[in-house]
Amino acid sequence: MKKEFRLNDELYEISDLKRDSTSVSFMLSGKRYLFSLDSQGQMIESEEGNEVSRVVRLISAPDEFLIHGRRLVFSSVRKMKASGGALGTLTSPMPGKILKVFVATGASVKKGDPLLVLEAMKMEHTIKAPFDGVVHSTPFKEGDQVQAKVELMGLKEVQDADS
Amino acid sequence: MARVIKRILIANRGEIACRIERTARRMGIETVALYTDEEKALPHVRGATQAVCLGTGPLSETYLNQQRLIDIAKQTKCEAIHPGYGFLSENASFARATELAGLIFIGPSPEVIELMGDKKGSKVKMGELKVPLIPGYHSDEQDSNALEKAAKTIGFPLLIKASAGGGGKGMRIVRNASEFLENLEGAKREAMNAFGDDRVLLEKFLENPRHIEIQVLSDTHGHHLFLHERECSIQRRYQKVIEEAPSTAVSETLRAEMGKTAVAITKGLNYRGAGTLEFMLDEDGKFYFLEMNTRLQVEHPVTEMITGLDLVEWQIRIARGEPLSFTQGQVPLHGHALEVRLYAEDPDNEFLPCTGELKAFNKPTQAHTRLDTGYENGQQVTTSFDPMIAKLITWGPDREAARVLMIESLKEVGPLGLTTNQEFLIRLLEHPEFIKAQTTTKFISAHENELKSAELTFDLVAQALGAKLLGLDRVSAQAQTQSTSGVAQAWESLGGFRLNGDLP
Repeated sequence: MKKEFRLNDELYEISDLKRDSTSVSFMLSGKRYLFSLDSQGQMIESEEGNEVSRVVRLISAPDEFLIHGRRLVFSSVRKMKASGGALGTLTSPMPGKILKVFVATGASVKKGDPLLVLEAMKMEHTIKAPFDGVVHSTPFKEGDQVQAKVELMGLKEVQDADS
Repeated sequence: MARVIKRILIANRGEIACRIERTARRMGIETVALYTDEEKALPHVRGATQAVCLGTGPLSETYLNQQRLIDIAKQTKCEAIHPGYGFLSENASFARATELAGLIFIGPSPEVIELMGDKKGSKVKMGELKVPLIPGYHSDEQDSNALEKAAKTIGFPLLIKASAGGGGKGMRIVRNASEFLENLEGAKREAMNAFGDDRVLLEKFLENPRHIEIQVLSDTHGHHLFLHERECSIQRRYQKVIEEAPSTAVSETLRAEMGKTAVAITKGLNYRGAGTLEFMLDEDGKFYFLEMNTRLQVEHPVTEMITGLDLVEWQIRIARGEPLSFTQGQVPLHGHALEVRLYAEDPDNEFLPCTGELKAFNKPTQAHTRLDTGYENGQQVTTSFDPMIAKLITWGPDREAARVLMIESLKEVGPLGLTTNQEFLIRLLEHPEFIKAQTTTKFISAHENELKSAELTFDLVAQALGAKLLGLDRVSAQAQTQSTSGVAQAWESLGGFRLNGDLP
């Protein structure tokens, strides 16, 4: 049986999951991984047919980890991460002024496409599409003042058509 | 002329307020902290002897309300005000009002703050003191021949800038004399179109400069010392990101020369207290005055780490009228220190400020590390104030030791819970050119692509998933046990899991 999960906004798939109270094992990208807890509650990584095992150092908060200096955030498979992310997503991070609007209602955009430029704290910030989608509302025009935490643009996510 | 300071109002907040409180406590001096309604729980409030609430409202009514701060200092019977950095620290009228109210301003005189805060006036003064300035031509004589002659005197490469300019319009880099006239015409045309004014100025163009600054201390008894240099070349949008002391680009001879220049300036200004002289250092070893900061710098800890001196302590002692108790030759220079600024910002999205709750925000555990912060684990970072969460400082017998310790400490400190530049800092520290100390002010833009975050490896993804499935994100580090319920809960919490082929 296969399972999917979303880590740092990317979907991954594992298969052949086996687990008990202190260990877990699964296949990911053609490789078997094996993790267990030691008596101190540290995570140990082992490899099949290999005597060597090692501690994986990490720090954690609910649904996220810092491992090897990388922040790894789990989110629901069905929806995008909503909190704690870049304020750039689609709300204004702070009061500012709209300098440019690049797209009109109805436009299809790809993840990373520039949507508008916001001037705040004397700096220009380009707000980019956080995912592939269709613009369904553009409440502001160039020159408008915006308050903090206001939706700058309505964007509806579209799933990849070819998946 | 000894003056008594028993209680200080800190006209600031966050990490620098905490920093000042720490030294004051050690010196047996009481502190009065300020806070706004939303800052009640922050460490700088509890770290002070007493705290006064400024309520809520724009900065002009809270931390920047000069009269209000002076009134609070009087009411709470403070003898002195420490301005920290930012806010009113370089505001001459605040320094003057403080002194007129009979209080001690912990910093230089209002006249010096005023002079050095004036771009043009300070350059004129520096010229009088024979301080090297970036060679340039700033005259209304705009005849092509005159400009060409000036260009040849300045040398190449040079920069043609629109006098009315800004935003790069009418700006040209000219690499040799034969291209000058052609570029001059282009620049004048652009300037005329953009600003309706085709006057230009010329300036020597520094190809790969380093930002080098000299820390100074001056007492009120005519002693002027320099506490070596800091290098702050790693910047983005003129915002410093990594600072270090000493600089690998500064030899003993150059240090002596820059120090001599710095002391000539502080003597010439009759300076008082701690200050910093910022210079651009060209590849050919020539240095040029940029500006003076008449206050404590954000990056002062790296100087403290290599000298063992407490700069806040010396600011207070100088304000009390004490003489410096050591000579130039006695200023230590021991090992190497690095500082990184941990910001709530997204390096993958134009360094846009981020907000959120600090989770897993830990103190570094290794020796020779220091974390200066105004937050604790569990607190909110909002857009009301600067996005800097903390400064992490490490020291080592050499640069490499400090660098390795910094990377390890960053992995320990976190934080999680919000987007920060933590990973970006690690990428900077691990960049081969940073390791080789090839640091210039253009480092981040020059290596933009290599500094982008790499895709996750499957091994790392697997480790994260293993930790998630073992429930390690649901238990505190101290309480991590092999509880079966932990695993079961972890499984439940991954509610987003779904069978393959279940796509909507």
